[in-house]
Amino acid sequence: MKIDKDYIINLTQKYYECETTLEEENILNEYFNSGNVDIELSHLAPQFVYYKESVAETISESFDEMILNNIDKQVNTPKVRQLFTKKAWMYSAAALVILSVGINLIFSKNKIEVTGNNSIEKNEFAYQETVSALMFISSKMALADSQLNNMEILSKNLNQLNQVNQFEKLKYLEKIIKKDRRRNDQ
Amino acid sequence: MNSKEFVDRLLPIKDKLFRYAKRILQDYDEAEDIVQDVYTKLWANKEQLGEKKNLEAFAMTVTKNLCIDRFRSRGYQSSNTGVDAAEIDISSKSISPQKITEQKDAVQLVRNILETMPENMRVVVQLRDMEGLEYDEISLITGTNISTLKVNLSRARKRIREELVNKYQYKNHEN
Repeated sequence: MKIDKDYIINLTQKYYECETTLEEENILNEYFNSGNVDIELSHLAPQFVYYKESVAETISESFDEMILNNIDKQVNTPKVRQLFTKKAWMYSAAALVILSVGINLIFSKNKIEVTGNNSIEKNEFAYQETVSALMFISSKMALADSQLNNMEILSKNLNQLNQVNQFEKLKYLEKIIKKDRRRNDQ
Repeated sequence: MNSKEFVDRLLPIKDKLFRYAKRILQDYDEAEDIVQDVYTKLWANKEQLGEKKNLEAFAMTVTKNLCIDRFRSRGYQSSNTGVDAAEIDISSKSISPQKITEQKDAVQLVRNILETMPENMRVVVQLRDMEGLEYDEISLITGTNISTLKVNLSRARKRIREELVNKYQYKNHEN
């Protein structure tokens, strides 16, 4: 069915004032790409022809495959094993308990009753040895806790790096392959 | 959003994102690179994608922002690859060879006119006249209000028309 020329002229006037709807613009697109344009309107056709041809332009064919491969690799890549375990918290808690006992012993030092010289010396010695042992344990547990924190940070960073590197590597390879193809085509 | 949803909802718009990037950057390879980066970024934030009302508009916005970053950071010269007039198929049901050549030249002229336009006008022509987006979607993507969009679009359309009229001296019944 031939579209009325006056209707098209009216639409084009609205078009240039941006008063047309998308449906009306589609009518103009179809008309000017039909190859059956009135001579009085033919000078407007190239604009619509260009728009139609531009929309036909697509990204390279290998793009889908690349994206799918990247997603697949990221989904199936096993996470870096967690080096920080729950047991470490238990060790830290145990250390705190021991430390608390040790501190308590330190502050209860003056409450030791004097029953005889030998008893006092023995008690004093036992007390000192206990404190030394507890301080030693405490210092080692603090060091272990700090090292476990560092391992946690490392574990997280390795996971993130693993995800980024896959995409970056594939992007770089894709670029090289494309440039090579263009060189061969020329 | 899982990988299947990501592929089903976002991969189909890759060409639209590509053409949009190419309109801004005016370079085929750079545009393709940008679109790869867009998908990388979208996948990295896939948990938040389900909350987006208009996923396509969001992806277009990401594309725009990456293009702007690339444009500013590199200051590159585009190779100006794009639709070649020789590749354009003019409907030629009853048109002489001379006319076909004239029309191909005219289409090439339209392309050249667009490429020399300011970015804000190029972009709105791309999104409205080529991709067929509504004004509110374009406003969401570009961050420009609808009135300004229409002003830019009207100017762009009229400029193209005037250049075509001047070049080929066709009768103009609009005025």
